[in-house]
Amino acid sequence: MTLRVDIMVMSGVDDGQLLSFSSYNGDGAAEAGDWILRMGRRDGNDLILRNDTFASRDHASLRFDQAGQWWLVDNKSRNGTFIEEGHDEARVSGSIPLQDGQLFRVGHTWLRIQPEAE
Amino acid sequence: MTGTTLRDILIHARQESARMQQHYMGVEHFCIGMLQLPNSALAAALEVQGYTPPYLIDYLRRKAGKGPKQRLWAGLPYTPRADVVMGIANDIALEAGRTEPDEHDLALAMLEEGDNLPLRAFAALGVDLDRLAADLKAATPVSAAAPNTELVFSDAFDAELSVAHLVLLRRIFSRNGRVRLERWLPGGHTSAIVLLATPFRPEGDADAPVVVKLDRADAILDEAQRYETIVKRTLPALTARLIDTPVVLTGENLAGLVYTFVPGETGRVAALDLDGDALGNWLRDELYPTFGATWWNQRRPYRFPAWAEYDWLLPPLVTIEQIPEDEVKVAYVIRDPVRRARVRTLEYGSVVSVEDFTLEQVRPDKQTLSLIGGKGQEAARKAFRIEVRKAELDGNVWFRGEIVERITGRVWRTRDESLMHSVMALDPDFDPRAGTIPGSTRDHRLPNPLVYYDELLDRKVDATLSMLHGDLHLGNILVGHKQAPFLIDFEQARTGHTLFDWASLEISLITALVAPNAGETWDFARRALGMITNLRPPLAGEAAEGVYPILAVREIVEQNLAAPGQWAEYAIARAFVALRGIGFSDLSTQARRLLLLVSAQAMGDAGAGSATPENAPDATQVDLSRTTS
Repeated sequence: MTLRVDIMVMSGVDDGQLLSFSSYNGDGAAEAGDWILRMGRRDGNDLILRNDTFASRDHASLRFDQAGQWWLVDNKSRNGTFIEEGHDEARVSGSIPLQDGQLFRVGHTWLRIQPEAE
Repeated sequence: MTGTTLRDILIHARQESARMQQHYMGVEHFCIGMLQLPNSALAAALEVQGYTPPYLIDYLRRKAGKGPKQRLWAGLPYTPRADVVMGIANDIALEAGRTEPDEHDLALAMLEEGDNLPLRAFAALGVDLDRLAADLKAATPVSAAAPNTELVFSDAFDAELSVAHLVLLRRIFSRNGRVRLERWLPGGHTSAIVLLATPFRPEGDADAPVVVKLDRADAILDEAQRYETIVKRTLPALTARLIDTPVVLTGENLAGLVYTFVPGETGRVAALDLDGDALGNWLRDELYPTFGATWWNQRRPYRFPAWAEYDWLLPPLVTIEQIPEDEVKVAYVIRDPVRRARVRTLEYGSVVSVEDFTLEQVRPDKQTLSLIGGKGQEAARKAFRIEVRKAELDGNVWFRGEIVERITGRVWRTRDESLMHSVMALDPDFDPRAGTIPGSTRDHRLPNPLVYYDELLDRKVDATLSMLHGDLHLGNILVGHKQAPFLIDFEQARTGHTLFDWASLEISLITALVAPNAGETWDFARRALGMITNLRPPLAGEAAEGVYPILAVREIVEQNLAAPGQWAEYAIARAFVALRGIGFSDLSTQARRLLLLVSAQAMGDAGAGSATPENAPDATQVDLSRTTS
């Protein structure tokens, strides 16, 4: 089965850029049946935050589990991974479920999983 | 047309991007560029809703964050979203027959794109985006002329107001023909002014009275935001509510809020209008249950080091005078985790750097900055405040909430010195290093707060956590229709130590009701302390008036202790709230003396100095037989 996801950059110099990932194109990796997208400053990541010096090289990942739930996982990053909670933000330690459309921050960069178009 | 062009906006936007070390053009820069225009339509439309440009720019900068020191790319690229917004603005301009978008077009494009950082920030602040779009489309310039509202003072009004306050009041009541200022409601220790006023309709009929609060613009706007996001949904049915949005006097950094008020038949307004016994009963039987349902009674277990909840009440950890970096050798760096014991020993004039603190306040008029320890959620504790004097404000961008990487200065005053300064004003002969000070009776000694406050900050407190008012003093408590409690001033509303509100209220009762009768000398102060300590009926004499409500507060506290009978939890709260009071310059000397003693005794009750706590009389042991009568 092909897995797809669109992620939109919501801040910084790449604000508004839409990044599309698909397992068919070899994006992400399979791990114990889950689909993993890696995010960080290093080139080998799926989502490369080259322009964010506050992002760690292997900063965080997104995990799509077999139940169809997205998880945001922090890789013990230096400047932290955050999710938006109401009008505030909360630091992620370990992993935390993520909803479509919910904003999250890796380093200084805000990102969002785009809800599927109807 | 205002005569400003797209070029003007883009010049401001580019400068903003460079100042923030971002080096790209995003929608946030367009937005700040527009807000900085001399006759900005966007700023005017937001000011109608009560938001000033400086406040909004601060907030946008905080949301976007400063860029890194190094540049990663050449030039000043537009973000993909900025391209989209500029495209929409061009379309709007073309449809209107203009060759180039103007400020209206760009602002409307920003609203239409709908997903950008400024709009997310505006939504978080509670801006009505539909109204903003409608006001921008209507394009009628908002009149800022001073309205001709007539201000009348009632005979009972006994305070002086500045010209700026009067102009602001006229603007707040611009839709009314006349306003009668009924009463000044004193009680706080800040710059805030609270009034009771009756507006009249243009036809002459009186409307319901309202409570007006005037204060610094940032404080008022913060209060309005807290009210919207935290407080509103927790309020009982009949109580004070915010009417409309704040009204701002931009040039004066002043703003005002209006709360509803429904007066009772008796003409009583302030809680202090009730006499001792009635006030006590009312606090216990009306105020506590009414707000308790959604606030204090929804408490859950909470264990914290005392500093996490109480450090912010104390004077700044250290005050420094900023000097240019790289000029001298830095002797010590203050960073998280803060070592208070080390900071305490810093000498006057030694050079320190502060790293990764959060900027809490900028005061251009005083050339000062306030920094607080930690980032994000930690900074909400406001602990370990550091004041920076003679701050370099020119040429730097400072915005509230910013994480300050590094700031360097010479030590001007430590916290110990600030406290000593306050105590010396009460008694020049005070020995700041003595372990104990005289208590309420001849052979009763109390721990010296100046010696023990610091170790008490590290005490782990077994307590509970709940929603709080955060500034519960007599000036913020009003009595309305059918004795309904009306609370105002939600600037400090938050989730925190449940007993904080009650300790604040008790200290407020002590200063308002006990201290005025306590006489001028230390002996009188000690006698007053003895009376608060041995709270047992029957109480006699004038000063006893003030003790009944304190007794009621203690009854409420008893129900709110994390562990039944463990009063040390409350003693810690009282110790720090009372210690804060000795620095309030608007309190009388006798009130501040009494508060020093109250703090000392509370520290003793909390076990500071371990002056045989088992045998020491427990200040908070109360005889509750009165409650059943």
